[in-house]
Formats: sequence, C-alpha cells, structure tokens
Amino acid sequence: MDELERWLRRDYATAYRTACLVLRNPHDAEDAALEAFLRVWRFRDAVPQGDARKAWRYRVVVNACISRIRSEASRTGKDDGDFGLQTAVDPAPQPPDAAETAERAGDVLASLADLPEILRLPLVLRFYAGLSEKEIAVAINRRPGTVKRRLYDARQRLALDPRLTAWVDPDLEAAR
Amino acid sequence: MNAMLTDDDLVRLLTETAETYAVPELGPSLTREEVEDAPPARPVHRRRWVQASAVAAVVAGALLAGSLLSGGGPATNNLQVAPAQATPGLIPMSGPESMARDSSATLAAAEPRAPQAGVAKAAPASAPDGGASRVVKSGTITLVVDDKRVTPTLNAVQTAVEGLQGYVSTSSTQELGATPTGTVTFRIPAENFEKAVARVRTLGGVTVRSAATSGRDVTAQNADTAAQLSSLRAARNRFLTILSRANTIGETLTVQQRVDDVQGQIDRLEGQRQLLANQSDLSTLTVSVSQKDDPIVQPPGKIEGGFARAWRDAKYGFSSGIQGIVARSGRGLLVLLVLGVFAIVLRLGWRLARRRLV
Repeated sequence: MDELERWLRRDYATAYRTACLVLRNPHDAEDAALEAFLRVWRFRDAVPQGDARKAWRYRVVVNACISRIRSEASRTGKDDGDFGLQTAVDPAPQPPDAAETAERAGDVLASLADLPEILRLPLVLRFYAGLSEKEIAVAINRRPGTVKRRLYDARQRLALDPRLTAWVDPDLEAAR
Repeated sequence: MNAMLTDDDLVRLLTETAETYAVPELGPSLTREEVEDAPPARPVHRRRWVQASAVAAVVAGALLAGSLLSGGGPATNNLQVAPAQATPGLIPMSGPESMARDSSATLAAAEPRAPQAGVAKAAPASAPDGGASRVVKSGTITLVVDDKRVTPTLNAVQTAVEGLQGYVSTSSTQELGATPTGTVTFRIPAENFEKAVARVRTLGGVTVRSAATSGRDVTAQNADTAAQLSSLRAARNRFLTILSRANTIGETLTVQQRVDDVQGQIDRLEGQRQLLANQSDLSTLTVSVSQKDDPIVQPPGKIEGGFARAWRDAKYGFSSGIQGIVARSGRGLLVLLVLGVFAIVLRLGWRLARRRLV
C-alpha cells in the first residue's frame, strides 16, 4: 500500500462527509473531495509538516467547498438550497430506527442550512472534523479570535433552534 | 430547553448526520485515478526568489521614477554659484554660503572660470514652449581690484554692460579711509544677462571674490495673473451692462460699487503683471568693487591651503549630495507608498483568488 492509498483510506471519508455537511449535496461533495485531494496531491511538496498538515488539508477541502458554493450561487443567483436534505435521505421504505435517523439528519441539515456560510464552516470543522480553533483558523484563513467568535455565534444560534434541541436525549440529560 | 444543547450534543448530532451520507464506493478509486495522472505542481516557496526579484525591481523602479520626477518637476535649486578663485589675501567664498534658493536660470555661459567642486549645472533659461516662459534673473558679483582701480573698474564694468543694452539702475560709492568701494546695479535685457556676467567676470585686472546668480520661473504666476485679469474684465463688462440697465439710484450705486471693486482688482493685477514683465524682460545685476586692502576682505587668519580647501570642498560635496538624496527621496517615498498600497490590494486579490482556486 503506497502513501496515496493510505492517505485516501484514512482521510477520504472524513473529507467527503465534511463537504457533505457544508454543501449538503453528496454529488457536489464528491466533486469537492476529488478536487481537494487532487490539489493536495499536486502540491504535496508544499504541504507543511507536523501539526499544521491536518489544518492545511482541511483548508483545501474548505476552499473546494467555497468554490462550489460560489459557483452555484453565481449560476442560480442564490445561496445553496436544501437539495442535500432530499438526497441525504433514502426515499425507500425504512425501518423505524432508520426513519428516525433520517428525520434527525434532516432536522440537523435544515438547521445547518439556516446558518450562514461563515458560521457553518467553523461549526462543521469543530464539531464534526474535530479541528481545534487554531486549526480552524488555518483552514478558513482567519484569526483564532475570529474563529472563536464565529463558533460562539453558531452555538448561540443552534441552541435556540428547536429542531436540534428536540433531539437531545432526555436520558443523557438526566445522566448529566 | 435551549441551554440543554451542549457541545457533546452537537458532536453527536453532526456525526450521526454525516454518517447518513454513505461514502461513495468508487470515490477513493476514482480519486486515485485522477490524482495519479496529475503532475506535481511546483511549490510556491520555490519561487521566492522571483518574488524577491520583483520586489527589488519595484523598489528600484520607484526610486528611479522618484528621481525622474524630481528632475522634471518645477525648477528649484538649479542654481549656479561661482566661488571665488583661490586668491591669496582674500576670504574665500564657498558655494553654500552664497547659494541662491530659487534659481533656475542658465548661467553656463557665465562659467568660464568656475571649475571648482560644488558648482551646479544650470537648467535652460527658457521653457521648451518658446517665448511663453518668463524667468526673473538676477545676480551679484563682487570684484576685488588693486589700489586706485576701483573707479576705473566701475567704469569698465559700466561700459561692458552698456554694450549689451544694459543701463545703470542705481549706483553708490563709499570711501572708508583710503579704501574706496563702489556698487552699481544694472538692468540688462534678459537675453544678454549671461553675456554681461561673463564680461564682468573676465575684465582685466580684477579678481572675482564671489558671484551668485539666480533665476525664478514666473511663467505660471504670469499665466495665472492673465487668467484672473481675463475673468475680472469679463465680470466688469457684465456689471457695466447691468449698470446701463439700472433704473433706480440704489441699483446704480450698488452696481457702480461692484464695478469699482472689480476695476480695483484689475488695476492691481495689471500692476503685478507689468512688474513681472519688467522683471523678466530686464535682469538685475549688481556689481560691487573693492580694493584688496579693504579690511572687509582681509583674511581673518592664515591663508587656507590646498588640503584645507580640498577638505572644505569634500564637505560641501558630501552635504550637497545628502541634500540631493533627501530632496529626491520625497517623491520616491511617495511612489513607494502608492506602490505599497497597490501591492497590498494586489496581494489581497491574489489571496482571494487563491482561496477560490486552491
């Protein structure tokens, strides 16, 4: 197994799903992931080593997503819609658990869709990709203070969103 | 209820939502195929030397542009000063002390005996636009002569200047004990000014203690005055027209007052224009003649030697060089500032473009 193979096995799924949460469209996310991996590979000699490597790779993913969003916005004249909500959920009949999962995902995606891009990106990178605030700052090319403020704003908005609070597990709450 | 949504909840909800997206089975293999065919790009940091060269070229260009702009700007400090010849027994007059500050006139023809360091080359006397330019020229020459030669020298100077259509404007002679001195101010047609300076400097039996000339370009001032005059005359004509239609005494007095005001301004500007014309048509040359034993021109101490003079010239050359650099650095810095702002804007645009492309 060569370096490229190891890299794809390790990072492709996370990069693709990050793009899905940002773009909420699996086809666009697949294109964005392909574009990001292609660029990272082409510029692999310039990729920094050490801790900055992960942030740099996500920066390329983020930029690929932003390019998709902007090209889509310029084509349709509006920001990304909720096409992803429909494609993420399998229209075939599903068992009760799967139906609940799909409903919850739909609510989460709808809630994400209401966030502006500048808040959605750091939120996904922080709570799905697991990047630190410093790494997010590198990924979105902003200062850490800006990242901290955007994360705070995003959390405040989501905390008021009943579509998400409805899915908080009461048992877990009780345990907490 | 809202406070119940914690960071852990967000992680869980986002992770569960992300996992609803099935990773495309062919995604990694398709990506691998695309990636394997792509050639590696040259890292940006390998082109640092190109950026450094570009920055160096921009800075050099800015400095060059600043120098060119300084050279092509309004005529200032293009003066010519003829220091005294190193004559034993005389106080040497160095360039800076007798430097005129607002000169732009050419005096190259008046430089037959001025090889010393620190003598600046003069700019052309008239602008390239022909006769429209106006330059007010003036000069002062101090001559030292032998005993009993003050009056004959003054006569010789007068004869020389009058041969160039010049005339005596003012003259004065003084006699302090046995050391007479004389000063004559000539008005000379501007086109003959340089010839007159040269003639006075090359008179026989005289030593030039100091010579300073200056030129002040008043072309713009003259044009401005003419424009104001034209405007005021038009205004006066309009007021006169209104005055002719006035029906009441009040109207007549009011308009007449305006006409008088404008006429006053016209008269004042006409006077300024005539003065400028007179000053630029007729240059002023002041010649002072004194004897060698005049206590004023006696050396205060020992006679300056060649090495001391060379050291003084070197100091003057150094200071004038620094002055030149400082004078030109102003425009250069301005150009650099503009280029810096442009570079920042370019950089921001480039970063934005890279954000879209990378």
